[in-house]
Amino acid sequence: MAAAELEQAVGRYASIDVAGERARIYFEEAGSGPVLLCLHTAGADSRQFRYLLNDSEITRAWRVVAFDLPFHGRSQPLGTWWESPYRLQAAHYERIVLAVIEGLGLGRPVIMGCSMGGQIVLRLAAHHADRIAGAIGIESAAYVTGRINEYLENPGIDRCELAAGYTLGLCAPQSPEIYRRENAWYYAQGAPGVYAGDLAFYGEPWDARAELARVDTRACPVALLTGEYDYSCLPEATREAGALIPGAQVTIMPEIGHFPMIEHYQRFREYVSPVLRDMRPHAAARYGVE
Amino acid sequence: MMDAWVSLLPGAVNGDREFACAARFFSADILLESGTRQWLVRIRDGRVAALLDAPRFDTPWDFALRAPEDVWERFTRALPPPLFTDIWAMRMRVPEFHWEGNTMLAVRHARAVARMTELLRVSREQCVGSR
Repeated sequence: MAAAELEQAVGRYASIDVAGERARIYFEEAGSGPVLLCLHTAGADSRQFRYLLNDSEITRAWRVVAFDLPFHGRSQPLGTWWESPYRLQAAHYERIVLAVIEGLGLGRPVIMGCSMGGQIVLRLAAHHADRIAGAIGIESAAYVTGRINEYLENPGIDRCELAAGYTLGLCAPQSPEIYRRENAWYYAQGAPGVYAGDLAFYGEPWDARAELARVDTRACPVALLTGEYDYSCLPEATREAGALIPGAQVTIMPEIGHFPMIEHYQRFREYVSPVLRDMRPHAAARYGVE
Repeated sequence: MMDAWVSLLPGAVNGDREFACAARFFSADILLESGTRQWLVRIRDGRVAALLDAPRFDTPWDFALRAPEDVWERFTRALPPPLFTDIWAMRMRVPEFHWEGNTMLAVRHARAVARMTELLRVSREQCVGSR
């Protein structure tokens, strides 16, 4: 029998104060150096970053940390969650991310998020540039409509199946099937209503245009990467966001959809590696390492 | 063009393992429309039991998927362009694509419905191969 292969990524739990409540948060990490903090998409969890967490070329230069938001993956839900429908709000989401940065002692990380994570990183860049060393928005938009889908929270429908099938189609057709199915599987494991409750955070429409003008990329460099095949966050919505942030770097990634880091990591790393290389000196100086 | 692809759809659907898995509890009458052409795909217990070409107006159906032929043409390419990759993408971003009727039933079996439409790509490919 072949010996077990241990991955370099390690998972742990932490209890962290979030808005007056003690939240039990699950996170995974690997590597050393300035921190790259990763935020998963709506209705998913930190497993979406497993290929990044096990990429030794990245983790030689960065301490990569990915956590599950409360209600997601292996993090506990908050409050009396059985008494009201789950709804994520921007200010609360922002508080959670800042609490994790402080609670885990992550210093000033570069923060990288996808989809709803790609939205909150822009908000953090706009309002909390003193707490982060850079922002990488994957599938980030300035203004988007059409994303609300009430079937995703209708109890007459198997929401696990629906979320899985729905997210399968959000990937690019060129992405290897095994990875598209892997992401769909994670979605199928989300709790009922959480995906829809996360999407509510975007609002209808999602409009971050006024906030984006506040971002100062000299203090907090910003890179935006969006898949050509993303029909939820359209490439033109990312270009619009980039145009509103002076100094932001915008990359449209051919043959990639809405979930680059999980649907086709090998392709995604071609685009994200140069961004990380460029951001590292700035991040290292702010993190207090060489 | 679409006529030939749809005529091969029952074989493609009934021979597909993913459809068989996703559609185990699925029965429905689906109206498929391409421009002025219509078909009714009768699904019973996860299999295509019948395909009606140009069903009469008084043939009831549960839900309909309607689009102009050029939309189906882009959707059924082996490598569809962005926005034409699946029925959810088209529902959000292609205004000429319509999904109507008992959409609750369609969404309950959304993976089976989506897979059935994806199999139009397989039947289109078969048409090209048999030429």
